[in-house]
Amino acid sequence: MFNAKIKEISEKFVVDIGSADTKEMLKEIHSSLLGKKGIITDLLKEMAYLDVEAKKEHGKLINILKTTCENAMGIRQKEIEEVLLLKEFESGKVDITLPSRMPLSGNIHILTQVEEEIISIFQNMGFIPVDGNEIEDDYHNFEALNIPSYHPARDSHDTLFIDDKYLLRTHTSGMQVRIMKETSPPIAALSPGKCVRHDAVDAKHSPVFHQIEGFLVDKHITFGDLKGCLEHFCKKMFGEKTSIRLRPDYFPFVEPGADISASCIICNGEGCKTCGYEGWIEILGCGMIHPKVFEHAGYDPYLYSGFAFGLGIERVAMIKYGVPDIRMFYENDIEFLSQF
Amino acid sequence: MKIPYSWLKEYIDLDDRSIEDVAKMLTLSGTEVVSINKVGGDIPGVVVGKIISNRKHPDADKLSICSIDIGDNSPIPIVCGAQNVSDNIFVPVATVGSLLPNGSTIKKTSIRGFESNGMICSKEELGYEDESAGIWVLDCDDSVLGNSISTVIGTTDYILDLDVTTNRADLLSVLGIARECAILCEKRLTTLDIKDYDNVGGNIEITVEEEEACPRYSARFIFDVEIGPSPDWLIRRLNNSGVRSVNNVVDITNYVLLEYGQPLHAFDLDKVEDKKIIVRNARDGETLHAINGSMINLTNEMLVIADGKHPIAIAGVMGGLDTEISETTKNIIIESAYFEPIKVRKSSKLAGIKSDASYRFERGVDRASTVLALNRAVDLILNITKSGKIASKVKDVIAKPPQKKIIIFNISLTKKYLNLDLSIAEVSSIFKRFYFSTTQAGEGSLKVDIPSYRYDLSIDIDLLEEIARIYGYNNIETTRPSIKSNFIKTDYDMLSKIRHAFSGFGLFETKHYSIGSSKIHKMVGFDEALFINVKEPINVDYDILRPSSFVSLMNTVSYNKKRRGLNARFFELGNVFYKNLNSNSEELYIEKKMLSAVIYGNTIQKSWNEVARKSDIFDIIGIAEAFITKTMGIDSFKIIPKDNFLFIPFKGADINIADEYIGRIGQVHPKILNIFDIKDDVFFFEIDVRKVIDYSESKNASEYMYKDIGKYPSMYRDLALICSKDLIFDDVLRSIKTSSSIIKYVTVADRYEGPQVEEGKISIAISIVYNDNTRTLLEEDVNKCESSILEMLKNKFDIVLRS
Repeated sequence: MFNAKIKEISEKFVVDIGSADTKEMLKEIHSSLLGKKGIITDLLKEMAYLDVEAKKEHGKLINILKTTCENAMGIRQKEIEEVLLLKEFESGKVDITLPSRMPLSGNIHILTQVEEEIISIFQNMGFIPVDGNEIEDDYHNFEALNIPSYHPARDSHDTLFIDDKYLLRTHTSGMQVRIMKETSPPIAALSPGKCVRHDAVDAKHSPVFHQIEGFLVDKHITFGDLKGCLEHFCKKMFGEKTSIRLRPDYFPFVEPGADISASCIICNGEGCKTCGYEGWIEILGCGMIHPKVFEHAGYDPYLYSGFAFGLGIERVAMIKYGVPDIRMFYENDIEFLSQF
Repeated sequence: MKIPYSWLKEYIDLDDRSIEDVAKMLTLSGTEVVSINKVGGDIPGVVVGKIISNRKHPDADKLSICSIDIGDNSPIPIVCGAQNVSDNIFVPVATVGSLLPNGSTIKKTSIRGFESNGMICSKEELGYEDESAGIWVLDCDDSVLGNSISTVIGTTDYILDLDVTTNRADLLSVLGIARECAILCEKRLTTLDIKDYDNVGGNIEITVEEEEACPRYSARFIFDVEIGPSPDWLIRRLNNSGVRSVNNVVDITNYVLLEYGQPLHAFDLDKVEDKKIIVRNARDGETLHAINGSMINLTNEMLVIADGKHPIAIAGVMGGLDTEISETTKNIIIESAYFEPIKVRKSSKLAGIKSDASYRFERGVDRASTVLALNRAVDLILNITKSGKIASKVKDVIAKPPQKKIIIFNISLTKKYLNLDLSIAEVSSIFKRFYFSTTQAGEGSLKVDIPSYRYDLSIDIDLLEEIARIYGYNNIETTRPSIKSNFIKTDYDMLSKIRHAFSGFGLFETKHYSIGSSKIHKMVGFDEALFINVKEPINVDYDILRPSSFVSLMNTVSYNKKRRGLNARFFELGNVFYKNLNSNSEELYIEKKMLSAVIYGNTIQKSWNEVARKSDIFDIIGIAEAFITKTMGIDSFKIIPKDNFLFIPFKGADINIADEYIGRIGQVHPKILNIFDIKDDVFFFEIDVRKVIDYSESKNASEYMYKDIGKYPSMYRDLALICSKDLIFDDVLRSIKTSSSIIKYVTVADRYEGPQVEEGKISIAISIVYNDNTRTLLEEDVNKCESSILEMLKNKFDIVLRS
């Protein structure tokens, strides 16, 4: 009989607890069960009149009732708290797809990005980059590179002189003899930087432009080594599928001289507008360092050999990123700068 | 250089291969064929027509309804979409049924309701160029209406446009290119039969005074030549080679120049005073009225051809007007000489004249072929003009006999440079292809005779290139060397790190010209004495090397404000240049790498959750400070307020590191902003970046060692102070910071000036963080420290606690 009574109480309270909506309701239920005048307190009081055996029996049942109700209240308490928290979150709801608050961010100029990419490929091969001056003397820019005065090759280097001796470098090749005089072989160096030629400004020409010169001097450097290094560069720069083609070309400070074309990155050599339907795009000028250059550096041309190469950064950037007009690199329009 | 393919084929049989193959062969051998253009020829059904009327299509703006006369008295209607349609122009008309090179057949059709019985063609549609802007307007008259177009444009030919490298003077002719083709495809050259003629007698005196400059001078005279227009084939061939027709004799001299690469010049013999030719240096003060119309002041550095009285030509560059061949000329002298390249280049530069002749002389013509070319010209003159009597034998003055050019070639070079093992016989057979005769010269060496036209070959390595060209650059085995370098000094990575830091600070990198305008720099206020002038500048905007990056960046601000408005932050890492005014130094010019930055507009943009904030002086100083203290790790950054012409008074400063000047910073003066049409606050700095790098690299190891960060809690206190407005507050903060070892950080939390405080004073709140690495600080430690700070402030700066 007592058993049935406890069961009845238990069922009633479990239902009450389950339907309590607030912390306050839960508190009320708690005191009606366990408070001074609570049901359980009453039941315990009633136990005083029972025999030992029945006391034991009742006590056990009351305890079960107490635990059941406490557990139910604990669970309900958590549920109510969660609902409250959710309500709090809901009240703070905001559309997080609204424009965010980005940190200020700038950008590296596309020419620098291309320059750094080129430099890092050669740096990984072991070449050391060095910054050079834009004011150069006639000797290092021309004479030491086997371009004496009145050499017709000076025509393509329309030069801005600042006096009879000094000029604005027309290429970064002038660093060759400077570095060679400063150090002894082996040398693997890169010289990136700004150059100037007396050129009219249009979509394809800019009097100021950037070049990277590189050279390697050691014993036993061959034309095959030149091909190997520059092929590796083209593959890293334009993709592993890239192949290269060499053509004899003339630069007074190299012999044999060559220019290197890479298979067109746009059409993979099929022929398109970018490559002028040739399938090939001229990328670099290069060649084996001329004995005259070694003589100027004070190196024995019979002991040492080496190769040198040069490429225009604007040209590579225009090809790789499809920039249509060389002037855009120097206009510094923020819309342009922030595209890359 | 343009060469008609038909002309080339007179010297070499190329019928076994396509023109594209020939072009590819030349390109891969080092002489790039830039383009192949078709000229002349017939396309069945395409005839010469004339637009007799045209009107706009009523329903289509871009279409014209034309009526075309094709010579049969029944004009045909054609609807045409080209913009250059106009009455009375002659055009190629593809009549119904014609098959165009692009594969399309012309049909009778109706275009938007109008009948069209053919097509007016562009060069593109007829396969003469890759892209045309409009229909092809022909140069002809009514007499050829209805004829096939070859009556106007000649029979089919192809023009090779070649890019000859500056060293290969021997390729600057049809014969030279033919010879190169013959070498490359192992063929024989066709030789021309040049007739020699009897002479009737006559004499002229030739004196060469400058033997070095003119080692050979050959000439011949012809009497009774009838000057007139050239035949069509000659005019067309010259036109196709990019040369304008003048008259038969001049055209023939040009023809031989193109064919043999030997420049010739014809003088009117009757205008040559005293019938004398003297090759001498000009005298200062002499002048020459050149054929191109310009009056040249001659100097004694220029070689001239003179008669008994005056210069009549600048040797190898251009002839004079007085002795030029005109309609009335009867008797002529043909000159075929060899002038020294450097001499011609000097004369050409001094005279400011470039010509086809000077271009070739500068690079070197074949001194062995002066007489051959002369005889070719004489033969053509007699044949083409159908007149003339040879007056003299060839006068051939060899002032300085040529030296044979011999190169000793050791075949070990092929191994050293190309990693190729070739036998003496193999090398020798390659040289034979080039017409170089060889003899064995000791073990592994060949003595190689170089023909006089090969100016580019002077040492063994030059011959190595010829072997590589024949072997094929692309056939040489590819290898990868192990790369070592004794050269390791570089600051490239540091410069790169700085750029990336600035990008992180929210600035965009810009690139600028190193040359700029003296006028703008002067207007801004830069000292003219520092400017490095460019000799012969590109234009007035680029007449100096820029002494600062300031103007470059202001131009960028101006450009962007006009187009993009609002705000931006830019930086540049670039060189600036100025004269070294320190006369004790040997360095004439100073070149410095400058790091400069400019900001304008808002630092914080207005947004749905943000209030806009305009940039101010503290934003630009913050960037400089973050760079020096954070990126470069240099503590001793200091702003020294100082007037500077670039900046507003009180808003400009020097930037110092450890009392050394490294740059300037401030808010740009509105007067200067006006020059660039900028009406906004602009802030700028420039820093000598190498000084900063040097300073950062010179630090001792102890300066960047780990310092104990401590584990005891910090205490935070504020002090409300009243101080004078004119105080340099940086000094105050530094004094507080260094007054006790337990003071970790000091900053200004608040600043107020106004009616609440006494005139000339400000109220300022200082936040101080106290910490001791060795123990937990007690209230009384901080109290003690605070009172000593207050005492120091009172004594040193007259700063008191706010009551």
